[in-house]
Amino acid sequence: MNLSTTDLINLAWVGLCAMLVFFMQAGFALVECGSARSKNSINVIMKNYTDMCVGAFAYWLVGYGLMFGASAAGWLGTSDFALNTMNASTSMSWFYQVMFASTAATIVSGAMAERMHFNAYLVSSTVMTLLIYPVYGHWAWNPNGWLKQIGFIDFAGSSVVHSVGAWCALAGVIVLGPRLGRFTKTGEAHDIPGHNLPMVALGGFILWLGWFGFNGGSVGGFDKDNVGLVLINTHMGGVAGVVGAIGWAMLTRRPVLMSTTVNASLCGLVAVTAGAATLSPLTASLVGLIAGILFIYMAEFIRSRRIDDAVDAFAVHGVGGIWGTLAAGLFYSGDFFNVSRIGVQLLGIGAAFLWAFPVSYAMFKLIDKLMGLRASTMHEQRGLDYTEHNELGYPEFQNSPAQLKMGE
Amino acid sequence: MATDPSSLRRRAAYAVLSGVLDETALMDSLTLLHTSLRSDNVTDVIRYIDTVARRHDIDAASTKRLYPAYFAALRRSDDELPLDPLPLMGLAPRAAAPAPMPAAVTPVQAPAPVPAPGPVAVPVAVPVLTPPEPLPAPEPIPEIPSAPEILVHAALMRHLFEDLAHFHGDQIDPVRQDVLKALDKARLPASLKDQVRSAWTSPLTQPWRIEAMPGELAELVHLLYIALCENLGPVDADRVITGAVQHADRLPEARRYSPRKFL
Repeated sequence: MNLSTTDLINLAWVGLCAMLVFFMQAGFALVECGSARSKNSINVIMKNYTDMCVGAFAYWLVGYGLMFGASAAGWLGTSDFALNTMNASTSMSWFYQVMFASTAATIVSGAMAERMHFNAYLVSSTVMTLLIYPVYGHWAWNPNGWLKQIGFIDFAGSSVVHSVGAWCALAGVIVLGPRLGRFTKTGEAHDIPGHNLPMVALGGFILWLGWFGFNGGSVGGFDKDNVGLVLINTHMGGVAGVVGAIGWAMLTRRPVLMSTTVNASLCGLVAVTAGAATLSPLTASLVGLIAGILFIYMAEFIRSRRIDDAVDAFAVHGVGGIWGTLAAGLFYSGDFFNVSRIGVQLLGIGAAFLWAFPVSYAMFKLIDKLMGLRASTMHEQRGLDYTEHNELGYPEFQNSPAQLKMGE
Repeated sequence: MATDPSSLRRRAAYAVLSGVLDETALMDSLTLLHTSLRSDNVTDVIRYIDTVARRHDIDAASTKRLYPAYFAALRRSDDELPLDPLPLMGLAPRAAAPAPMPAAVTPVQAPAPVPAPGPVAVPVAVPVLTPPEPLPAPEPIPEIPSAPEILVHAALMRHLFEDLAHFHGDQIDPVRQDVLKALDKARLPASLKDQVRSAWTSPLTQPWRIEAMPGELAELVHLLYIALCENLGPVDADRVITGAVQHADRLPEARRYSPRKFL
């Protein structure tokens, strides 16, 4: 098969973007690891490292086929399972999509950090990339998917990747319960600060960089005239998320936290993802700005409900995803506030919840019953690095029960 | 301050010599002290340290440092010294375990008259590991000795309550309530639960010598950790428990039972 220079450049662009999306795994790992206590740092890193591996395998075997295979009435793919021979375009598409699948799965790991069995996490991660993510992805991204057919807009996955991941995370933390001592008897939250906030910031930078590949690659090639617009909108979403969050924090006399700043930028990036190709820089900024403010309120609301989301994953990916998907309809370039389009967007948002939340809730319940989801309180005391991996992140510097136990 | 002079000497010697001698040599030296040293007279102490140095090949520079170190140790406050190593020396009967927690200091025998301080008559060449019979009763033995894990657990708990009283005094009562509630549900012997309940009546002044198996003591530490997490938050709970374990780790008994095993 002979490819034109343009085709080759387009493939190279998508390949490069796929690698940037892969690098987002490092960003997630750093954000989540830095947000956890040092005695659980290895466990968090291991989850991020390995969910990508088991997820990619599951996606190759089944997930990609369910998502992009020949559609059965718009609901499920029925071909392209365990692909072994692919043309240049399909292989690059597969490579790009498997990185997205890993991203959706890894959103869950941070929310459930510090109290979940490692093997149970791997099972849940496999099911996510095997079934939960691809089915919704089929509806929204397969050319014959039922949501796609009625005009649902989700350019690079505010709903497909982030909302689905966030609903699974929310279901997971509800089934799992809060970390030992996270809430007092009266419902107040005990702070559990992360052990390395500079690591969180570095993770934020890496994720932001990766997002250019996440949205930029979704254009599908470098010869399209909107690559620059997509990249600008992506950047403005992140920027505005921070401006919105820290501005609102100052106005309402809240502390301007670094962790909030990083998460607000991510929330802005998530929100702008659905409409990165159909927003203008102005509306992208507005979307990011509102996302940053919404993040603050949702993180507080989740805590007030005594739900322990260790890294505010739902506030970042759930709220960002829902708002971004809606905003893609509200601010569709040249056709603002089209009621019909907004209705379709709301339908897509609802479908993500109705599919991902109950299915993942049932999945976590089943895993809990079959193999145990929650680490024991003794394991929480010792730290999952010791109990799950027999390895410490900082053996020379760490001052914790885990280190003392390890040195026994 | 410790009031029993011979106990104080043993504790001071333990504190000073444990840094330079291995376990066997340390026990030998403490036995030598137990059977020969009868005063804090400078001449006697120097003779004792010289004997220890000769028997265990301590170099001259280290020996020189031991003289002032020993006298400094004698002047330390009670809580700066390790516990009395007498139980480790195998010279006193051990308590049968498990036994009820001793309610208070229990003399095991009437004190024998203590010889007046004076020059030590025993020549240093006498083999002190096989002391001449009958062994002179040196001093009243202040307490029934316990297994090392019990002593280590006791030290851990005492330090933990010092920390709590200092930084989280208002949280002791809620922690107590949570621990006692958890204790009711715990799968532990009833006699052990009674000991713990009794200790919790005045946790700051208790010796915390809970007569129990090591696994049961670890379970008690875990119940306390959970209560600390619930009331102080997990970060402070980790700090408190880690500090207590590190403190207990410095005891001589920790050589025989590491407090880390309670984690």
